Amino acid sequence: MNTIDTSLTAKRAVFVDGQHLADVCSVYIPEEATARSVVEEAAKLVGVAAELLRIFREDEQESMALDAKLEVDADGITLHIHQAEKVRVKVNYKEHQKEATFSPATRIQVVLDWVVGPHGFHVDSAIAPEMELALAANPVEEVPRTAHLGRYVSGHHHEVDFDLVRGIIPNGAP
Amino acid sequence: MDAKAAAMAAVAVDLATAPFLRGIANKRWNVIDFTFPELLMEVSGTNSDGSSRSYGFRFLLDGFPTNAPDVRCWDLVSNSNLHSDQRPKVPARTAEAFKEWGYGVYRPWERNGGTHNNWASLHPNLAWHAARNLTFILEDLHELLNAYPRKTATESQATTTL
Repeated sequence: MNTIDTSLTAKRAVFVDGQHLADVCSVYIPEEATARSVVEEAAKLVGVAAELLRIFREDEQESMALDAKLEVDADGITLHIHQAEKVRVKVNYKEHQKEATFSPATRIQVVLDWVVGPHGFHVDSAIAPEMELALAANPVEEVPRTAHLGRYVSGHHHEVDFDLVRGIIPNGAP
Repeated sequence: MDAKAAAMAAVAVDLATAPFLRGIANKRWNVIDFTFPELLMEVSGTNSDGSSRSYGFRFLLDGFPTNAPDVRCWDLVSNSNLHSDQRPKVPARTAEAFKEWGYGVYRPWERNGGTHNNWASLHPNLAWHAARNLTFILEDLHELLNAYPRKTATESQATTTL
């Protein structure tokens, strides 16, 4: 007799970013799952014990309670899994540096907005849209603005350095 | 499997990945039509005054992923190249990427842009290779089209906690 595996049909996908992840992944959890279910599934992906991981909603600065229910209609929201509660960010621009602390679930776009804005280097508004962040330790690595900070910091390392650079301009374009 | 079937299969896999689906869920991009080798997509953008506007793109995906996609700024109504007057003009790097120069989007990952003036070799982090995927291109298009901030409640909240 054919049977339906209800453990599969009753599940839904949520998007997860985090430490040790090269890109966003889908994690499958029961419809009525709590944040704990996501942590337990994501722990298998990142290879870290679930008890050591925190979970955040994208851009939120405080981690979620593990018994928090996930909104059913929140499929577009990306969650973040990380060991760190906070990440210290240092940005170099010319001979100057700025530092701030963010949650690992913070998008690169939010860091960029801060560092070009009045609390950062107060970059001229005509130039600010041209600016990008590059990893100081590896400037050729792509840093998508939708990526979370925590993607670039893992384990017990809670610090990351960026250079604020001008986006590439064409070379000899017609 | 012949070359066409292999390319179609590679595109199908690409369109089912989590990063691609997240972009759709977040309303950053959307698939308008896909009839291999032509993929029509819409990418959301932000004008310099913070208002939103989306742009159409046509991807030609023959030989994918070995061949870099040919990506054109596209008028989805007339199904033709978007007139230069309708393309984003600011900031400079966005205008340069979407200028009308007879080929596709002027970026190192684009089929024709990449071979122009050693563009891809000079910027390997933005060059196309077979391990890339469509989301890599869409992320870049979305960033170029959103160089100006569109303030959201989430961003304001995050910033004020610094």
